[in-house]
Amino acid sequence: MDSFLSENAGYLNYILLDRKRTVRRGGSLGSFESAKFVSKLHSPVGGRIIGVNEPVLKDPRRINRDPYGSWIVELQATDLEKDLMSPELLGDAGDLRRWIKEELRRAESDG
Amino acid sequence: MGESSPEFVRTSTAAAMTLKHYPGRFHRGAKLKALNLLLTYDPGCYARCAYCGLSASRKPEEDSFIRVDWPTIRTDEVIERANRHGRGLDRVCISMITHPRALEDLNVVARRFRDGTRLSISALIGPTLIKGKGPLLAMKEAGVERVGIAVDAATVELFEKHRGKGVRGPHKWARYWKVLEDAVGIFGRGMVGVHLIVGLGETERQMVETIRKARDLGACTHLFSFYPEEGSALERLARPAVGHYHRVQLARWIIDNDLGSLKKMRFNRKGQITDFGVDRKTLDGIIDRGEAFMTSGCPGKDGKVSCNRPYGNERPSEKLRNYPFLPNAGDVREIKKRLWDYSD
Repeated sequence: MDSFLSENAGYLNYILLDRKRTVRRGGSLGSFESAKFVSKLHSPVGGRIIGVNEPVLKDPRRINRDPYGSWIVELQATDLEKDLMSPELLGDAGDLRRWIKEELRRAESDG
Repeated sequence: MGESSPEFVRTSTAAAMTLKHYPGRFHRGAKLKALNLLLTYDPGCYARCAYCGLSASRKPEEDSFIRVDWPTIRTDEVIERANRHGRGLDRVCISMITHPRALEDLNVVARRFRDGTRLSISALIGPTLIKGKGPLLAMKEAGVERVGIAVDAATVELFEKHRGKGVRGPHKWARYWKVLEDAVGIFGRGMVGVHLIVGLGETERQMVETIRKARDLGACTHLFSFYPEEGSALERLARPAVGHYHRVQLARWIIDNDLGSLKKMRFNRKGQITDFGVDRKTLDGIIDRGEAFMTSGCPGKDGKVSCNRPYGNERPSEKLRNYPFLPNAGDVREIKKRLWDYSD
């Protein structure tokens, strides 16, 4: 989870993993939940799960404190190059601009 | 004195998020419309209510209240942030706790919000500290528009058990209802809200009778679903079934909006509501509109509920009990399924 997602979720209380052995790109790894928000945790790449960061599951707020130092699962990617080139991850410049504008509009309407 | 009121207050997590003191957003795009604030002291509340996160009898390592963190913030900063970030807010509720300074400090904080914001002011008052009508008049003078009284328990027996003698606590059932009557006299009919917690051991019938009693006295009712606070005496008590809670919400809606009467309602041997005392078409219309299942609380300037407490009664991953927004068609389908489930 990057800082943008952890800021939007709020202080995390739970990370619940599906505990499966493999995951496809965009598939669900489980869910994350704060006091007021819950969402699925999507895998950015497909592959085999070879490690789980139990201390982070026990204290999910580590992610809020240090999002880039708090990994959740370790994945052995099946086809990293292909996944990293996927349109869901990259999109095009137009998609990104539209997405940022929508986020800004939503943030402003939140007051 | 540490970080104590009136210079400091505690805010709900939802309020802290709305004031951008905490990060985060609300599930399903819910928006908070009323700030909930608590007066704060060290030591804290003198009361010992068995279910409460603020209870003096709770294990000291636990610090949540109604399921979430309540960060302490300087009162002036809350006002400043409310003016800067609180475009969607229309009310603030200042809650007393049972502490000798709370009555006086409530008025200090209320005056600051009256003078420093455009928000309407509610006060959740502690009858145990209120002697006579003078304190209520002083609150009104300080800018308090509405008051809430957390009776919480639906019967005198449950009140004594969980708040009074049963826990060696200071609260008295009779005083709560006397202050409620005085408050209605001072603030007006419909301007006093009685907080009731569903699931403290009462039957649905007993809860509905108490809702009727409050209504007869000129108050309205604000419902909460019991949530076991870790470290409290009732941490192991199960929550009421969602269907149980929805039936009480529906009965409350019918009573508080004068759509039917308690006399016409029917209950089974377990005290569960089996007939809401209104014709089928009217009942279906009320259920389909969904408003009955929204959070009940003090209203905003538009007359709709302002104190909507998003995810205050349940985790966002759970079935909603108090909808902080109007339930959609899918929500209403879910509500209907649970409403007629008597398996609890």
